[in-house]
Amino acid sequence: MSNQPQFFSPLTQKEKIASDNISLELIDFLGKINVRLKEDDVQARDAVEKYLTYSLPKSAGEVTGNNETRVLWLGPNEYLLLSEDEKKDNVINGLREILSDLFCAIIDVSDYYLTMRLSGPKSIEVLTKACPLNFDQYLTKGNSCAQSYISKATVLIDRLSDDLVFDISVRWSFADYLWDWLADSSNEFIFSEK
Amino acid sequence: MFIINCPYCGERDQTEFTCHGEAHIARPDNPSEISDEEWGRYLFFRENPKGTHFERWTHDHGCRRWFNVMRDTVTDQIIKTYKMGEAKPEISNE
Repeated sequence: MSNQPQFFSPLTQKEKIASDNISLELIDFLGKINVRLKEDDVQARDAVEKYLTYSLPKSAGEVTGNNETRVLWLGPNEYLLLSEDEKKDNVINGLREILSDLFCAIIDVSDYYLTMRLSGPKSIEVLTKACPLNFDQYLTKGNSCAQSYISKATVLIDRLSDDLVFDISVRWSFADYLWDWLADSSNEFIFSEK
Repeated sequence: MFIINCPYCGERDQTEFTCHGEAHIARPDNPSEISDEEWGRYLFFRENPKGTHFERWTHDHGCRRWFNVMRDTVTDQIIKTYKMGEAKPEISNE
């Protein structure tokens, strides 16, 4: 046995779903950084925005970003920064450096959450089966996010584009359960020609 | 469905929230100087009104922030929600 740490995802054994109506796939090894700043600390906010080269989300459910990183609104003083897994350490070190004198918390939560991508014309129908969010009011367009729960598992849903593509982040201990639940709920929309 | 207006996220389903008892209870500044009875009053005694009640709630499955709710205990109507630290709203006698 090798002494090198082996990286694996708890969901690698799962069979992904790909059909015209609904698709479900695992987004492995996404860098996730929880950023907390004081709500009224303009200086810290400006420093982060300068580092990222775009502005932080200002209101609930807003998502901002560029080609490299993406920032989701989690609370009035809390954001989730997504990046490629290989680049996350650079981002963390960069943010810690520019915020070294300011009150903040930069936490790597990459391994705490797992992300699965649900897409297709029936995805909202699958979600509404057990998610109390009003999808006419929230997540109505691309680059928006909302936190809620799906069948008892607390989730963060990120709508990537105006097409129906949702990245669902869930605590890894709930991931197996949520995957099975989503797969089971999608079942009725998958038609096989036999 | 019972909708609660989170001061940060907006209107969400009741099942995303948890109630944590009465709001606006200030911890005494001088715990070592006050009597056991006064400390007991602070710890255990609550208003329990029939009518308007002020409560602390959290948006557990959303932004996870604490906020205050002004609720009628008879009709269950939520009259107002407001952020922590904001002043207690007046009770109207309508």
